[in-house]
Amino acid sequence: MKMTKSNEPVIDAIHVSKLFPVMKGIIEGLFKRSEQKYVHAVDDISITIQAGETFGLVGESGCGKSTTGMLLLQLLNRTSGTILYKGMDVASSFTWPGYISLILNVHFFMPIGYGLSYIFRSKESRDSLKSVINKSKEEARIYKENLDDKEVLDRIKNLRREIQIIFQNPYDSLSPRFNVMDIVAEPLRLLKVYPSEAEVEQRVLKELDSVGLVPPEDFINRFPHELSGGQRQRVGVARAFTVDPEFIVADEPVSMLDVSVRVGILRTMNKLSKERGTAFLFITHDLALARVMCNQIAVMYLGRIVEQGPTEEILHNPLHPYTKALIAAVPKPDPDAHRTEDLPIVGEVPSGIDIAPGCRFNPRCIYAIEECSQIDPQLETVKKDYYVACIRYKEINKIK
Amino acid sequence: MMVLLEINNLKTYFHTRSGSVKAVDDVSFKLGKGEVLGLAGESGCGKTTTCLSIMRMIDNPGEILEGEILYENAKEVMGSSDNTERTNNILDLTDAEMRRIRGNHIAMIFQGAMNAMNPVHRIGDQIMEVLKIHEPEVPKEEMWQRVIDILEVVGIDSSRARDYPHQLSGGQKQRALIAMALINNPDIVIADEPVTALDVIVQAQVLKATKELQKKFNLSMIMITHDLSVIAEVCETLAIMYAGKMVEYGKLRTVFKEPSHPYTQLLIEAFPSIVGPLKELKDIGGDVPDLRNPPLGCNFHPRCPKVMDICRTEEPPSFATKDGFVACWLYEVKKEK
Ligand SMILES: Nc1ncnc2c1ncn2[C@@H]1O[C@H](COP(=O)(O)OP(=O)(O)OP(=O)(O)O)[C@@H](O)[C@H]1O
Ligand SMILES: Nc1ncnc2c1ncn2[C@@H]1O[C@H](COP(=O)(O)OP(=O)(O)O)[C@@H](O)[C@H]1O
Ligand code: SF4
Ligand code: SF4
Ligand SMILES: [Mg+2]
Ligand SMILES: [Mg+2]
Repeated sequence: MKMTKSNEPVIDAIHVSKLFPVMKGIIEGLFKRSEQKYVHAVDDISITIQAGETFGLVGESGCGKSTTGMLLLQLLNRTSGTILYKGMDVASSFTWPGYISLILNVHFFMPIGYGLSYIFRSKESRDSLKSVINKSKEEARIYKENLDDKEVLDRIKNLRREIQIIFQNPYDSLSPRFNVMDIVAEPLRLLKVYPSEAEVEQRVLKELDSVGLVPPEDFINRFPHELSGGQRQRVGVARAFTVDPEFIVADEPVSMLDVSVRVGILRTMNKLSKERGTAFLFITHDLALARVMCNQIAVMYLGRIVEQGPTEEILHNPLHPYTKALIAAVPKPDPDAHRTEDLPIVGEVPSGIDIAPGCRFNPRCIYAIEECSQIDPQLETVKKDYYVACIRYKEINKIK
Repeated sequence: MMVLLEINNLKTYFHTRSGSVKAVDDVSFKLGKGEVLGLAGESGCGKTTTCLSIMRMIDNPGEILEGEILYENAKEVMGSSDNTERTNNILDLTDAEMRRIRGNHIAMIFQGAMNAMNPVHRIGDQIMEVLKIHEPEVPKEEMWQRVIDILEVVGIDSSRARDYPHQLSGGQKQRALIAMALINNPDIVIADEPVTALDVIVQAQVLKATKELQKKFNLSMIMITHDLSVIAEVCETLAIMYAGKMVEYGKLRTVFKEPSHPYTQLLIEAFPSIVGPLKELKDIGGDVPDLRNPPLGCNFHPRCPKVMDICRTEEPPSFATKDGFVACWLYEVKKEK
């Protein structure tokens, strides 16, 4: 088992932003010289995750959760900000070349194997990839020079092992042509973690056992289509854990699965993170899941973190108007606990392109006042490890 | 309450190359006028197939083998002569009669339909198409007016009727689908996972609109979802399916608060909540059985913590509960008393 130095966070993201250029329509592009617009997918967020901690990122679809995960994994180039991985700024020197390696199918930074299919699946990522290819010749040259640097190479190699991802969809994140043994062993083999194949297989069996695929011998020769959704997701977890990662991004790891299967997988993740000190970024839109998995959560709205703090406190006494609405909207599995009839929110999620001036929640906020359309509230410290971004939070919550 | 729909011993199998998938295996239940029934259970347990059978939309390799689906108003679609000997069984209707039932009497909002809307037709036109099938004689202006009206009813501004599906948000698309289901004034609306793909806030808004409409028109509804919290919010009765069987049925509160079947108990415990004390996570363990070769006896027995000897060999019949039934040998004793 490896642990990072006690008080150094595994991931320390500071004021990180990601803007995606919006593709102009053909007509518009031909006739108008309109200014380039951007989606503010992630806007100035800071996240610190310690070893053994599971940090929750919650919010509605499109608020920027997955983008944040990709940024922390160095799979996306951030527009601004710093991401320190165990105190080192790996992002600044390597993200562009990371893409090139991706294109060349070398996938240096990718949690091995998964990455390509994931990146190429979404049209948006393909588009951004194209723009990267165009711009990256110069970067490639720099990268080549860096390749001679032994220390740099070692860092890359470690990074490939130390950060991993577990995907949302167990149905297409495993290669259908490999059996379970090969899928789970692939990272070990590629990274040459063990000198002998026997040791690799030993490790795979151990890992299958710890994710609850027992007896492991029954599973190693099966192909993904011979597994249920829950079993596939366990294979994904086993694969991520075989290389003793220090940081794992779990992007909606159970949202495609039934409740009854979910719990087993979450428990397994919990157990492994406790035993091995792995840090997790747990992305979910389900507050009830965040509650059982995370001590700390951050609530995102249109690319911003609007409230961040201890999960139980936020769930019982949310301070930000958006968090209040989100919590009021969660259905409760209890016929007596009726959802508030009128939610404390108006309208619908606007696009991330033309963001309202001032507080970006103000068009939907029932507490909004004149100033809210002028002042863009920053995260303020409420108390230790608790932050909220609303100019009226004290007033609304009757805090002195 | 007047019973509107009664399903007795329904069996629907899919004959695949590797054997018959017993997707619905001897399922019986009733739906009253104005009742909202929740149909819950793990993925693949037969919820959709049950409802597609009611709509008689089972295609090859599927087949409805046995059972009856009695619909109170079935006579309305029959030709006026010699109906006297005919029953209300939907399964005995001619195809032409069945077409009159579909949409007009029993409407279904299909799983994932939100993403299957025709992208090149305006939503208003898509809704009007449904109206045309059953009332082709109505003049166009009047039809359009009805489309506008129904959109307003589900909470979509009439100005959006000329929008294409991609111009609507997920919540609006789901509302448009509800409008499409309601336009012919059906008695029964079946909604298959209608809010599963939506974010909580939008989900809350759509469910609220659904509840209001259901009350307003005194609709009977079957709400399929694996999300028990959604059911807790809108349903009055709850049916739990497991591996092709209906294992428990009863009033919402009874099934939730005093679940009888071990599967129901585990399913409810496995559901995390944001209210109440923080609970330790529990899971059911094991996997849903292969429906081509379901286990002998009670098909939950390989996963059941309360399994007894008889469970491994004999299939449990339904035993009466306070206000419904449960298919589990644990309740046999009560019957003998
Ligand atoms: N490659 C891209 N190019 C352009 N826009 C993008 C790209 N990736 C994401 N976006 C946009 O950035 C915003 C945040 O997206 P992201 O996928 O991070 O959301 P999310 O919270 O993970 O949503 P979901 O729960 O639906 O997965 C959205 O408006 C999305 O459309
Ligand atoms: N067209 C089909 N061909 C073969 N098997 C099918 C088909 N449709 C459904 N099934 C099987 O029937 C069972 C029940 O399916 P379904 O009713 O869709 O479940 P649910 O809606 O509860 O998720 C599953 O085992 C499924 O694989
Ligand atoms: S700053 Fe104003 S608009 Fe923004 S959340 Fe607070 S009260 Fe609402
Ligand atoms: S019949 Fe037996 S195995 Fe089936 S649920 Fe009841 S106790 Fe469990
Ligand atoms: Mg996402
Ligand atoms: Mg279904």
